[in-house]
Amino acid sequence: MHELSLMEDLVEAVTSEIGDARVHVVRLVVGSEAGASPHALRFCFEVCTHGTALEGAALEIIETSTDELRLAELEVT
Amino acid sequence: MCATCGCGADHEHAHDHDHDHGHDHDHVHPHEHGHHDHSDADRVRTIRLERDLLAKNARLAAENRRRFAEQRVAIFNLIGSPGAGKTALLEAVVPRLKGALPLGVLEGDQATDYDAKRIERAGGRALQINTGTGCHLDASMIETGVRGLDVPRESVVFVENVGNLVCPALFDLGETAKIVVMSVTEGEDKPRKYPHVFRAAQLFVLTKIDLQPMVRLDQERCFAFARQVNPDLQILRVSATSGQGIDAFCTWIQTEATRAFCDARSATTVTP
Repeated sequence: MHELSLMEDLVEAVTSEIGDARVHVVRLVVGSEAGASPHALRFCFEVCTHGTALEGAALEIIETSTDELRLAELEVT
Repeated sequence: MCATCGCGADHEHAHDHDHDHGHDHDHVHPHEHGHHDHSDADRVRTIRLERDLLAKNARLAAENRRRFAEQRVAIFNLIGSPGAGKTALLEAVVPRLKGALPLGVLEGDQATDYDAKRIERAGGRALQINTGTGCHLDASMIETGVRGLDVPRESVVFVENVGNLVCPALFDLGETAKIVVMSVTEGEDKPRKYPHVFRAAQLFVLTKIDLQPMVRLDQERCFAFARQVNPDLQILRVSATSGQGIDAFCTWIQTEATRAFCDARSATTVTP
C-alpha cells in the first residue's frame, strides 16, 4: 500500500499550503502508467485526512494514460 | 502545459464547478495563485499546486544520489517477490565480492532481522530495516541505513527491498541501479504482469536455474516478455545453490560500481 505514504505526503503538502482556508476538493492527476491505483488512493485519502484540515474534502481523480502522478489543484473557501 | 487535460496547450479552461455566489465573472478565470481580496469569504477559489505526489521522496532520492556520488558508494536495489531468492543470491555473492571491494547490505522486511543475520553468517556486514506495515523502502530509510553501515569510500551497498514486485518500483532510492530478481519457479509471464518494475530495472536476474528441469518456465519466452517491456534490460541467469552465474553477476556489479565511481569522480573534477 504505497498509496498510504503518498496520501500522507499529500496531506502534509496541502496543509502547509492552505493556511486557514477550508478545502472542498483535492484534484489529482493519476496516469495509468504511474503505478498507483485510483481506488487505493481514494481509500487512503479518507484514512489520512481524518482529523486534519482536509477532513471531509472530496478527492477528484483525473485519470490519464501517462505516467503522471501529481496534485493539480485545490478548491478552497 | 494544460494541467487539466495534459494536452500540452496553454488554452483557457472552461470550469465545470459551481461558484457559490451571485455575481457574474467579468474576467476569464485565470486560476489565481495565493490569496484573493474578495469580500465574499465563502467564495470557492481554485489553487493550482502542480506538485508531483512523489516530490518528497524524489527530493530525498536526489540528495541521496548526490551524497552517494560524493562518498563513492554504489547502491544496488534488489526487487523481487518474497521467495524469489534475493537473500540467497546475496549470500552467494557476499563471500566472492568482499575481497574485491568493501560491501554492505541493507535488508528490508516488514519484521524480524532474519535476513540481516543470514548475510552476517555469510561474512557480510548488514543492517536490517523493518518497515512494519510498509510495503517498500523509501529514500529516507536508505539515507539512514547507509549512514548506519558506515562503509568506506568506493563501497558497494546492496539494498534488498521488501519482497514485493509492485510498490518498490515506484520509489527512487537514489540508487545506482535497480535489479529485478525472479526465479524459475514463477510464471514466465511475470514481466508482462508486473511491467513497472521490469521497466525501471537495469538488470533482470533469473534465479534458481538449477531447478529448471523440474519446472515448466520457458526462459526464452520469459526474456522476450521482459525485453518487450524494457528493450535495454540486461539479463543474467544464476543459481545460488550450484554457483552457476554468480561470477557473472559479481562482474556485472563490479563493472557498474566502477562506472559509478568514475562518473562521480569526473562530475566533481573541476576543469580549469
